[in-house]
Amino acid sequence: MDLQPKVLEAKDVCKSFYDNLVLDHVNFSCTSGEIHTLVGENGAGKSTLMRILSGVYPPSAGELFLNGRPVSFANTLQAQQAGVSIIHQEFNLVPYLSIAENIFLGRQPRKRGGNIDFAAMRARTRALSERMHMELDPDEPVRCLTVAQQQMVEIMKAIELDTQILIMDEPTAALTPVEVASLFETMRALRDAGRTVIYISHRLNEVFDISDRITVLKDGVMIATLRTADTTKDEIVSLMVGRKLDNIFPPRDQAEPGEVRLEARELVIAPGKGPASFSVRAGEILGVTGLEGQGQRELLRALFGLYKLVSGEIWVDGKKASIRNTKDAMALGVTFLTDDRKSEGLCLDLPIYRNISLPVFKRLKKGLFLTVPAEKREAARYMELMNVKAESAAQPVRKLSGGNQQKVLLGKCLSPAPRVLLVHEPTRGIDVAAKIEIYTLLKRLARDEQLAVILVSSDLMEVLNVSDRILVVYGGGVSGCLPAAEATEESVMRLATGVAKEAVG
Amino acid sequence: MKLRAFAKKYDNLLIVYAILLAVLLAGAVSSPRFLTGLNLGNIMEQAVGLGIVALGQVLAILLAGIDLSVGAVVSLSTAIMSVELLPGAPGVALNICITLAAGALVGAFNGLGIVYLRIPPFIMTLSTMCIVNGAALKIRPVPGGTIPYEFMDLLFGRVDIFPHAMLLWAALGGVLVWVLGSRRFGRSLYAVGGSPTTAALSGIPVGRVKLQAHMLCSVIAAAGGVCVAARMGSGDASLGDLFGMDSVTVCVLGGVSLFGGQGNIIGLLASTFILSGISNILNMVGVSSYYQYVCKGLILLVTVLVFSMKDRRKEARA
Amino acid sequence: MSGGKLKKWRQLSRKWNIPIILWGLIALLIVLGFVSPSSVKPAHLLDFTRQAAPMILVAIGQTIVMMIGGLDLSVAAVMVLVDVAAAQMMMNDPAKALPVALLCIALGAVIGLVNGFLCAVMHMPSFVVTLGMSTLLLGVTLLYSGGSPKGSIPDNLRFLGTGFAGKIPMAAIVWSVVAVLVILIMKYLPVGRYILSTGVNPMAVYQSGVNPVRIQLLCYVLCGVFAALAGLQISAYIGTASLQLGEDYQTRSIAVALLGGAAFTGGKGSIPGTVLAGLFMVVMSSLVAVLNMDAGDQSIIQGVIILVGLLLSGMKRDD
Repeated sequence: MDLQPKVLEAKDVCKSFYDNLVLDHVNFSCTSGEIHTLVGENGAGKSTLMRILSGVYPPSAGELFLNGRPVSFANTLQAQQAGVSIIHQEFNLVPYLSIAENIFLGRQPRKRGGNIDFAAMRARTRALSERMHMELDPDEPVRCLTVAQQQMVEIMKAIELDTQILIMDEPTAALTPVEVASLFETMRALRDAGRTVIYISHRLNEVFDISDRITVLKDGVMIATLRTADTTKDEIVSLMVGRKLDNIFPPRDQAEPGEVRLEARELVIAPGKGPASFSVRAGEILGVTGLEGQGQRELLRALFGLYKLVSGEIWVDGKKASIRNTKDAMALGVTFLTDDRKSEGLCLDLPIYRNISLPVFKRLKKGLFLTVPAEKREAARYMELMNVKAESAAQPVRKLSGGNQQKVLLGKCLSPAPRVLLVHEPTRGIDVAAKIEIYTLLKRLARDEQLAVILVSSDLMEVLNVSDRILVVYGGGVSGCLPAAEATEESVMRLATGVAKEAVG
Repeated sequence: MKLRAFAKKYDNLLIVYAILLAVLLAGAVSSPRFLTGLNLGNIMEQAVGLGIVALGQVLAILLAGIDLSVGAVVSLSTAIMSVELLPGAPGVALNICITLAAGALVGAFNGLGIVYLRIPPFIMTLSTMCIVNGAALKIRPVPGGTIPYEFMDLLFGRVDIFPHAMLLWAALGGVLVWVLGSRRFGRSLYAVGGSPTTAALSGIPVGRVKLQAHMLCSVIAAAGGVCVAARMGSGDASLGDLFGMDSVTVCVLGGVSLFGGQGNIIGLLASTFILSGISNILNMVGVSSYYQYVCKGLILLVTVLVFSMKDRRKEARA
Repeated sequence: MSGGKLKKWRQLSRKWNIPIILWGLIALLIVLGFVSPSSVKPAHLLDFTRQAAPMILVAIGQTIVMMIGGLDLSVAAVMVLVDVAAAQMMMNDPAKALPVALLCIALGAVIGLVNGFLCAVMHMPSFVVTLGMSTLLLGVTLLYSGGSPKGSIPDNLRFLGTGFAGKIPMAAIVWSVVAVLVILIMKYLPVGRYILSTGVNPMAVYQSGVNPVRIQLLCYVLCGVFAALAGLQISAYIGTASLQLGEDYQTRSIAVALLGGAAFTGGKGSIPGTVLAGLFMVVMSSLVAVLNMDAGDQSIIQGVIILVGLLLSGMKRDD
């Protein structure tokens, strides 16, 4: 395959932001008619490289070649015109405009006299969606579409632009398995038509399913480009993180769980779903997993008063609890680490100390007054515990790296001294070092402080290696509960897909 | 089924036209004189100035912005129109040209500040409002001057029950429907208002679209000012004071979202007539005209409440 | 060398959180001193602090609402309504001053509560809600007064607008006390922290066990209360009811809040900045007045100064 001509090539590309070198002499190339996956830890520079290839910003050093000729893109528009399009995780669609208008935005076909030729636009949109085996009404406003359909509109837009190289940044993150399958079908069709798809993903299973070649980036350096057929998941993982998996997760130990802290009885998240019953004990980490959209998110949120259950009872410390809102939950000693730290968890523009002290103003105030020193003292405790790297406690959270932001958020969840900690995707989008610290801390809190932890994650390795018991959710109910020592990827996946069903243990 | 899809797509319009119908019914019930041609003509005469200004305002609002200076532009227009530069028809024509040019200038000023200095539209146009009001006061420190009678008659003479200015309004509205619906500029306007980054990534010159839209907005406001001047027959630097907020009210009632990118011209016709219809009815039945403010405020609050509840239900379903 | 000094000075200014508009105010005063030396005598300067009272009071409320990303266009209508209601109900009777004043403040609170309910609970855009409320209140005021308001304000209340404590105008004492209280609340009470945090991210506040909707409601109520206080302050100064006085405050209170450091996006705002910006506005009006300009020039100059002030404060805020 290396003998084929390279359609797009990056030679010795460097990129630095301020004084931070994000990409260090990266060489990357792809040929026509391939699906080329880019993998790497967060902060490895994948997105930066893709943005340079698609003209979002220029490289600090190095050159790009398109079909052998050097090119430089001043903006994404120029890259598009040259045949390189990128689909970001946040779609670039105008929600109130129709599908057809979005596809032809800024380049609508016109009749003589300059009026937009809506009939032609609709016809071409229909032809495009037929080609992709989709049934879409060209006049449907984009905001009425599902995420997967919106993604298809983005792809159709790229095809209409006669894109030779399509870059997709984690396109499967928000899709259901069925939707992923149909997306892959489209990607293969594009490949077979001689186009190139560059695909960024964290999901190794998918990567091995779809790609022809895999390039691994680590800390801004290109580690290797391998043919998918010639490599294994283990090899890719060790290349990505630079160490063996065993060194990431804390050593397995025997939990000595105490009394039941929180018990969910017959929770129903939507009519016809579930019910789900489970419990977590003091000193125990209960891992919860399942395929995307099976109800684990809703169940967890319901425990914190963020989701309204259809029916079911929540018992805390052996007493029936009424959790109608977050205040009720926190009064019972339950705190929650959201999976969306930026839009739900943190006040990004406020200093670190203010974020950590936010849930405990009442405890920190002396008489009527709350003082900054008291807040800073409180924050300092958790910054030390979490090992947050920051200039000072007064630094706005926005300026921190993803890992440090996540640690601040965890500090915010710990400052009210919870008895039950609910964490949702605690290590999404953060670097390995921070991951290790968070795993170690969760484990320590459970073992030493007798905290009850419920960990909901879509990262199977994480669930398998950090939790004491593993609860698998399917269709809003519990399809099985395994002791972590006995669970394997296969046994969990069988439960997650609803193939096997086990008695709740 | 098709009817239903239509109703779903244009539900805001249905609501505002239903309100207009209710107002017309209320008028017909409260006075037999209400539905006469003469009175309906009067309502149009009263509505036309605000109606035209709102046609401009809608462009600013579709961009997720606002133009508070349109009222000042109306004042300035009446002031300019009331100064006799040349006798006779050429003089009036010259005044109109100067007025529209002044409008374009004001719009360019707004647009440049918003696009290049990145000043929020609210505060940019507020400052412009002060400046343009000042200019109007320089020209007409006290109300006065005259507009040639022939010109007043040209705009407010009637064809059947329709004042000529009403036809001008309709024509202008028609042109805008066409521009917003079938020209690239119009569709770009919606894209910029709905999602500026997407618009920019699609190669739409966002800054230019904003600048042009603001210029168009102020020119249309100036045209509205010409009509107001022709109706009043003199120049007054405070005539336009209420037009700024009132034109926003008309747009919002007409179903145009202040968040940008959503709404169309068709609703403005109804919402303008709702406002002038109400004050006309209150006049006819002889209650204090002060009730018109109460009605206006309540209708605005209730309508927007209905809009937002409906949108939330839609979102909940999605 | 000098660059380093400038940097140090700037750091110091940031450390003490000095609002940028202070430099604008000082600059205006210097210009005023050159144009009309008599205007910067202590007696005159103190008079500025009196004139600024209504604007400062109403702008403090506006700043609080803007901190949570809202906007209140009904403040001017509240001020006029309160002024008219106070004069008509007090009818120059000193005994009625306190109960009527309290009633007016309660009225402001109720109006704020309705605004808050529609914005925070019903999720309607604050611009439209408060614009509609403004129109509605204008109608109510006109109906209530029949278009020609009667009555007058008794001397005990008027003292707060026109009186002096020693050389200090009572009006200045009123706003100073209010401003200091609000600053203390913002700085030292949990509720103040919640307000700013809600402006930055309401969901983060909710996940900390506090209902941000209540905080938002509170902000609108406070804004109504401060608008009522501003209305009372105007009543106390002019002594009669007037339908004209509020107009200036509708959009200008927003301009003052912005000059003081607030932003339409919420999560920003400074009470000291707003107070200084209120003084800035008064000194600006005074400057255009002593320049002996006609109404037209005054309006033009004001527009330009607002724009320039905003540009400078906006640019400084970014770095």
